[in-house]
Amino acid sequence: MRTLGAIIAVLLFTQACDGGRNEVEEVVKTEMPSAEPAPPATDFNEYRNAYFGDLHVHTMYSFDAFIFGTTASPDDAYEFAKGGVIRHPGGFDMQLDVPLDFYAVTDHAFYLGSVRAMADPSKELSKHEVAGGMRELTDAASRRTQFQKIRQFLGTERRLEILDMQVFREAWDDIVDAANRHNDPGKFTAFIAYEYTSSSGVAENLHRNVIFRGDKAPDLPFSRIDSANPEDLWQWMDEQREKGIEALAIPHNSNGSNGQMFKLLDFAGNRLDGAYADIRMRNEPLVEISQVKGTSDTHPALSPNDEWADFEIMPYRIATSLTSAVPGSYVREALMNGIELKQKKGFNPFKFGIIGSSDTHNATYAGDEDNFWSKVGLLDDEPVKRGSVPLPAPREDGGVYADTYFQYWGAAGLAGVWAQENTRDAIFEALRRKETFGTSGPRIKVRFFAGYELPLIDDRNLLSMAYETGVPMGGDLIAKKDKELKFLVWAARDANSAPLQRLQVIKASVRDGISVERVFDVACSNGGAVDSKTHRCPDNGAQVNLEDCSISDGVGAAELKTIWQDPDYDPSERAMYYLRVLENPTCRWSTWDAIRSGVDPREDLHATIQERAWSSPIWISPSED
Amino acid sequence: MDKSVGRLIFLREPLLWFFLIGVILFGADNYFSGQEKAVLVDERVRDRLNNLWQVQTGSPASKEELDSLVQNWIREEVLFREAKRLGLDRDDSIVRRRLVQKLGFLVEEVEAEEDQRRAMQKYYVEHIEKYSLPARYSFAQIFFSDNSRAAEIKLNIEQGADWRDLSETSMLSDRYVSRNEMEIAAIFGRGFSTHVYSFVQGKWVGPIRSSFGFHLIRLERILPTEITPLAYIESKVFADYLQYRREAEMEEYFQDLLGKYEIVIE
Repeated sequence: MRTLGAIIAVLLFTQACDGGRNEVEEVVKTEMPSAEPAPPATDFNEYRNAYFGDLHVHTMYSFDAFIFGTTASPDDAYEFAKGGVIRHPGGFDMQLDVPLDFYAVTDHAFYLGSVRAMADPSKELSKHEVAGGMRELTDAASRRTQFQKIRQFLGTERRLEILDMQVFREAWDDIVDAANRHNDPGKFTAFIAYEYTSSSGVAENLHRNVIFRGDKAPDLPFSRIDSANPEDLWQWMDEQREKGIEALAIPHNSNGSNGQMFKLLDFAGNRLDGAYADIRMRNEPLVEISQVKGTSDTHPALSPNDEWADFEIMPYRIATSLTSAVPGSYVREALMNGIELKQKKGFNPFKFGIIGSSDTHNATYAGDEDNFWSKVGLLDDEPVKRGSVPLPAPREDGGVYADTYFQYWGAAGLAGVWAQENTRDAIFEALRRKETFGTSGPRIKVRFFAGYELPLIDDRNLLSMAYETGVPMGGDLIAKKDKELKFLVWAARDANSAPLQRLQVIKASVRDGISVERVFDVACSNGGAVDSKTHRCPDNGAQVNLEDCSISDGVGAAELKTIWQDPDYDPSERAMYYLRVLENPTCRWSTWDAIRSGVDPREDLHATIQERAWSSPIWISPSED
Repeated sequence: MDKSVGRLIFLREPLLWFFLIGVILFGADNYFSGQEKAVLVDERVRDRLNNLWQVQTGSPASKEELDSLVQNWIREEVLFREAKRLGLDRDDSIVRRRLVQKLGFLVEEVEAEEDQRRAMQKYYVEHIEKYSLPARYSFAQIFFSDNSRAAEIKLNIEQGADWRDLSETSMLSDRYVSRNEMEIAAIFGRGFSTHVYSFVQGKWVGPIRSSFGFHLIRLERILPTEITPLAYIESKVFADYLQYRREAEMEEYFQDLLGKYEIVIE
């Protein structure tokens, strides 16, 4: 009897399915009379779409964020990324003009959830001596004091007293569940992730974000409690990979590492070797070039011939006012050292692609100059606190502005990827192959290809041919003596930010064993032509009105693109190229703050900035002919 | 009496306040005039300390613990009174904010569960746009940077040319799938997205100006606004409602108080 029932059920089911299919076919027939293919049902694009996201977001589970007043959960963070409204602890609503395509909550694994538990009287941790004061946090001063108190305690031998494994596990499980719950293939990607918060010496930042590919996460994240040596993190990631848990790590704030992030020695002080380069590159294919705590592309001291190097430079080590040494702290120099090492010793430990991200500690991306809430909760939520507007009365030492370093922070850090669709797999694979770019906030898109048979710039099949005959950003090419290397360079503006001013190629090549850099303007706006001697565009005359931050109308480009050839190209040299595109100048957040408060912008800060995007590099190996 | 009005309504009776404040002032005057330096440790103080201890630790204080709590309390009380005598509580933003916060707790009224549910439903209906998916548009677009080409392109379409050959190459896509107005603003610019209402199914409309240039648009599909059922998002709506009510009550209370104060701006 049961078998018969099953057969009938199967028959009915089959019929139902057939009926359904017929109906669909008919709809197609009646509605699409032309030979044109049906409208697509998804955004799937063989030649890849640009997706924008933030891979660096802290919530209430981060020990510091909670002290700063952040009570937003991972759930709240993902709701916000999808376009929802959440409330800042300072009492105002935060919402994006445009939702993001992907987001990763990256709380500090180090004492994950501990500080929040200290403020919860039902938790054992609330009785610990450093928990005193956790429930009386009100203004910025008391929060700063509490932050320093806990930070100091974490520097003592007694630090493990405030590690409650139950609290740690509950927080991690919540983070994993929230990412899985909010991940919506085709529409929104949420990655399981965390921050590995290590440092060396005194506040020499070695932080990395660890991004997992799938819906499975390790039982607990590997944190600096396990080891402060990033090489041990990579070892652990290798072990996870063998268990089928794939992840990649993204270092950030190299600018605040006091030269440690890209130094030419390993953690123990030994010279780098091929094995080091292998494990580092296997686990760290990318670097975060720009975020709220400054931009790490390059520094004027490293790139004296780059007129745009002085951009959102944050001179200190993280969360201190100690100066951070410049060499070893910036991305371009590391990329250059990488190809030099490859040439001399046969390995490259710094062959990374580029992204930006915010590092918000409010759970909310903060990349808009004219809608900036900075990133450390109640410490910098008001213009006076972040040093853009004078104090009501001068300080005892005569200072007019708050004694802080927040004025050096930027409204910055967005990650761009070229992926076929908005799914975890497609975006993770883009991150892996470094088909990525970073921006200082705006949704500028950049395409970058190198090849020997690239099509003409106006070819209808430009992209399919570029993929077919060349390599995209993040790729490698071998130089050929008898062929001309060409680059397809292409950028499109953010529809709601300023138009583009110029498109540039940053080149480094190894000449006589030394890596040297050059900056080429390659496409100019408003019909300007690049000067063949200086390699610079003419000034397009774009202006900013500092009375109200309005910008010149009709100046700048919606898109800039060209096929470019390197005038200094030498196929016997090892080289590396990446794109940088600059917007017309616009007001910096500090200028917006000042204007809105009716005061003059601070004189020792840039009143305007040129927002920008950087592509991942393309690496050229010397010709083998 | 309507339960939803809350059990604190008697607090709003001015006569009662007048009477209570009178009693307190009279008592305080009597108390402090004679023995302003006395710190009284009575059962009330001990009970309060013991209760607080129990809340924090889960068990009542032992005799030694209570003694130590009392010693701490005496120390705090003496220092507190001295600080107050010196006027340290005045013009201190922490003290001010804390007191304002405490006042907020007083204002919050307790609602019966049933009333609360009804009020939340009402809130959900009144703010339904917050809990709805907006309309989403799927469309094809032809891009040209020079507006004088518009007529020629339209003519070409009428004569049967493949629309995809008429567009200038750009980083924009030929087609977009299920984009809401906010997303369309992100792609083409804020000025452009206000034109979504002029899109017509199966017909090319335009030229419409964007941040990039000009476009002809053909609507292919529209998904209308969708309301998210309350059952799916009840906890979120409830949290929003509580927040909303808290703010509304505080505002009402403040406006009420404001009428009783004279604000002098010099």
